[in-house]
Amino acid sequence: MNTIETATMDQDAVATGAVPAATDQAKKELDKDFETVGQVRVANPRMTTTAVNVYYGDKHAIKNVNLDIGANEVIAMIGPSGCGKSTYLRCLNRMNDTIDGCRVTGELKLDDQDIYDKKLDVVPLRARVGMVFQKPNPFPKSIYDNIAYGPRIHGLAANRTELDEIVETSLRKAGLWDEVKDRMDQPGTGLSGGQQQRLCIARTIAVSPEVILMDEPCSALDPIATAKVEELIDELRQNFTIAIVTHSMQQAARVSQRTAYFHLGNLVEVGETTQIFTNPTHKLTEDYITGRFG
Amino acid sequence: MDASDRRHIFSRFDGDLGGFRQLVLDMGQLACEQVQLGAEAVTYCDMQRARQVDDNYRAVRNLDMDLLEANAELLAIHQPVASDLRFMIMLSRTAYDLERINREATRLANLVEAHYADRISKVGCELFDDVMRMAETTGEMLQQALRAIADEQVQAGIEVVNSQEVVERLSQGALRRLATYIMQDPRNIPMVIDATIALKGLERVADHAVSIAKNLIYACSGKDVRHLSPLNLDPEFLRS
Repeated sequence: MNTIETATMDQDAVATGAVPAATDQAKKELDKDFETVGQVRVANPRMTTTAVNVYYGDKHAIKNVNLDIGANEVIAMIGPSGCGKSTYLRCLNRMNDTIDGCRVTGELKLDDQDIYDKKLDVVPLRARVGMVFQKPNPFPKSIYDNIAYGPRIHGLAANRTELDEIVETSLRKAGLWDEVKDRMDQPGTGLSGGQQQRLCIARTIAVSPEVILMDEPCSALDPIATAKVEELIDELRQNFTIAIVTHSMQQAARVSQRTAYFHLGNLVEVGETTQIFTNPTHKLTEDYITGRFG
Repeated sequence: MDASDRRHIFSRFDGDLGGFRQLVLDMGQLACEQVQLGAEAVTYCDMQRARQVDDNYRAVRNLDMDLLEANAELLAIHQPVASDLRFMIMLSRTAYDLERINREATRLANLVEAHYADRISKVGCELFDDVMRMAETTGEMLQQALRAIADEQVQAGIEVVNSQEVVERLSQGALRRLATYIMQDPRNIPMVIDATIALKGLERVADHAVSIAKNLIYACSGKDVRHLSPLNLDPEFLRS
């Protein structure tokens, strides 16, 4: 989806009723000096974002967002279509750089390093902050080469033995090794949807990221494949930090420790997942998660 | 935002939740009638009222089963969160309290059946006046708690909780008066025992009304006040 489509999506979404039109009161609250409810900052953050604004041309898509991504946590981002959660997610590894007309301001840091520093090479950044997309997108290569590709180009393996080890470790961590170990030379595209998505996760893990970004990773999967990916997310949290965008509130409640609610480009509320889903503070959050719109 | 703006995006949810709430309120209304009937049965040694309480308990059981089914269906289909989830929890717990209240009413009726032959010649004895007073007070508490649920009014819930001390004072006064009946004439002992059992049963009804109110406060405010002293039920705390 290109810039123009994403930029106009929230207008269309409002017009068709797919996303609620904010009441006048809510719009005033959101547009002027809006302050996020809840704890945006955490101790020992892996990533910090301050005063982040994103523009698609004249369209102000993300408005002054402050948010920490804590180390070894899963943070879920929820909100109606067009609210900016995927746009924000893409800021974290500069994937918005690939969109014409997209401008990002503010401060975004990975372990105290400014990721929008002009001198920073984005290729290693995207290895450190990997991404898994909504539609599984394995390379048109063998299962082995899907995993090995990243370590090869980043020079992470000195020889074939080390590369084999990386491939096996990554597939084991993704819970896929036992299912594919006897057909590593077969094409990755020949796997089922759930297996392909886990292959993509293994591919991301293979380059030893610090943060994994997931943009609706289960929306194209059946319930069983979804459950496997969710369990995998829970295991991966031991070693990685994960930020996940999801339309499923039940999924956000199941997999995350913190949940951030976005609305019309604003970060409305962020807090512990249990608190957000049992007793949210902001009325907009309450209305969205209970399915009642003004 | 007015009430019409609070419609769920799935219209069936509001209907299902409203239906569940109405079932609970119906059970509550039945509980109020049962308590009143049971107290009157004991006070006036009225077998007809006592049998009415027993007969009505069938309707209570049926409602209880309908509630369990509706509860499971709502949770399975709609997976409520936030205020809806708290509301569901509150209604489920209220159903339990109401079933217990109905059982207390049945125990009152059983007192009449057990001692009818002994008591019938002594109908009209003012010894049971405190039972009716207690029944009126606890009945009013229960009605107020049910109204608080219907209107989702935290303040009304707080008032029910604070009424508990009125019940305690009534109970203590009644027990002192009952003691004097024993001192006057030991032949009053069986009736005093029945009156004491009835008073204790009505105290438990009041406890259940308070429990309903505290669950309502939780549903509306998100704060668990079940183990807070009534003096600490500050509306500011509930809003924080």
